[in-house]
Amino acid sequence: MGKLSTAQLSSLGDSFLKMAQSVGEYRVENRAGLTLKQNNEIREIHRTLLNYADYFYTTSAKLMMDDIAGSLDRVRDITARVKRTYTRLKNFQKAIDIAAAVVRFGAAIFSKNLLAINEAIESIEEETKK
Amino acid sequence: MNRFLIISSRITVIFLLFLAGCINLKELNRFASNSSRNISKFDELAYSFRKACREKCLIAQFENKSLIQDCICRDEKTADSVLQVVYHVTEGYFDGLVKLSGNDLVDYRFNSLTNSLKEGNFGGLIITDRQAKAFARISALLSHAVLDAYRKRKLGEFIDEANEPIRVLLEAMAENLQSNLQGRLQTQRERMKSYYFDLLEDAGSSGYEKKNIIEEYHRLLNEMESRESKLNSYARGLKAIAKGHQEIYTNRNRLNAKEVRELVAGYAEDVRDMIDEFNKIKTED
Repeated sequence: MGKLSTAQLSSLGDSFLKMAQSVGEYRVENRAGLTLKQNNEIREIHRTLLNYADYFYTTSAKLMMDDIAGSLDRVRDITARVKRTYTRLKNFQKAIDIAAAVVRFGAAIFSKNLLAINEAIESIEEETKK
Repeated sequence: MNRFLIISSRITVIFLLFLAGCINLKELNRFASNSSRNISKFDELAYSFRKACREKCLIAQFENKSLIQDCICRDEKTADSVLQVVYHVTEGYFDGLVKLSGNDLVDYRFNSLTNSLKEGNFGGLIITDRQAKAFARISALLSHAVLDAYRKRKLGEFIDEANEPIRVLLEAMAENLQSNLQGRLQTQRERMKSYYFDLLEDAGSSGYEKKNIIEEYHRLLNEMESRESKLNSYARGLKAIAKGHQEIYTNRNRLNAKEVRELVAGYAEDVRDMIDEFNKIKTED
């Protein structure tokens, strides 16, 4: 037998759940006519069917990873590129601010003002630290 | 005359570049933002495979009237980790789209450059105040046009590549929640019903105790119904996001068209409605 798909496993879970529901209904509706032993037996069957249903649902959820592994990798890769593009565009503002600081530095050199040169150097340092 | 022609052609190029970059991403940004918000509601589901497992163990303890119960939830932990991974990856993708389509991303501030380029004589170079301001204005216009066009092109590429895998993930997650986790909720409800039936049947229970048992049963039933509603609402939200992404993908080359913008805005609204619906569901968790 080949491997069951996640959809088939979920469907099996549904089938076992329905069987369990029917058994549970039967026990509730016929409780008065059941002996203690019969009641216990039916309750045990009910529990077992529910456990099977749980198993199929959980296994289906676990195996879903096999179905989506490729898609996960692709979306992860695209997201990394989206973030890189965002950072690149964001950094453009930084480049403008650094360029402005460099222009101020150039102007200060032309002005031959030592204080202005010092301030301009500090300004470049600050911008490049951001 | 020649100089006039050169200036005119430069202005035309700048204007065309500006138009090319003048792309309205408002609707896309709203859709991505609502999608990201909707996906992040995962943390508020208040139900998981592990929780289902622990509650199953609790019922077993009640039935056996014992504290001792082997409660192994290893498989459930793995099942939850699958959901967690899909949640983080899809949320990360839409979060990236929100940032990249944000209005403020390419609104660069050139004030610093304008302030630096003041009127003055820089060695042999003379810059007038008018020239300095014009330079800053043209820089802003050009950078906005070029970089906005670049961002639009990149967004188109990302949406194109992501459409199929993101839909696979969103639909798989919705299916997992609606089929498997919902299934676990149903089995738990069935166990609870059986347990409370037996409790009520217990010959030792007085009328007052029976009343309390019935009240507790209904309180737990309501809680389960709320969980179920949340799972359904969340899963429907994921499906709406997948559908919206598909529409954006189909129309990715004409996002500026009025009808496409209205369509995307409609999906953004649908997703927001799902968030509102989800928020209205009350749980006792």
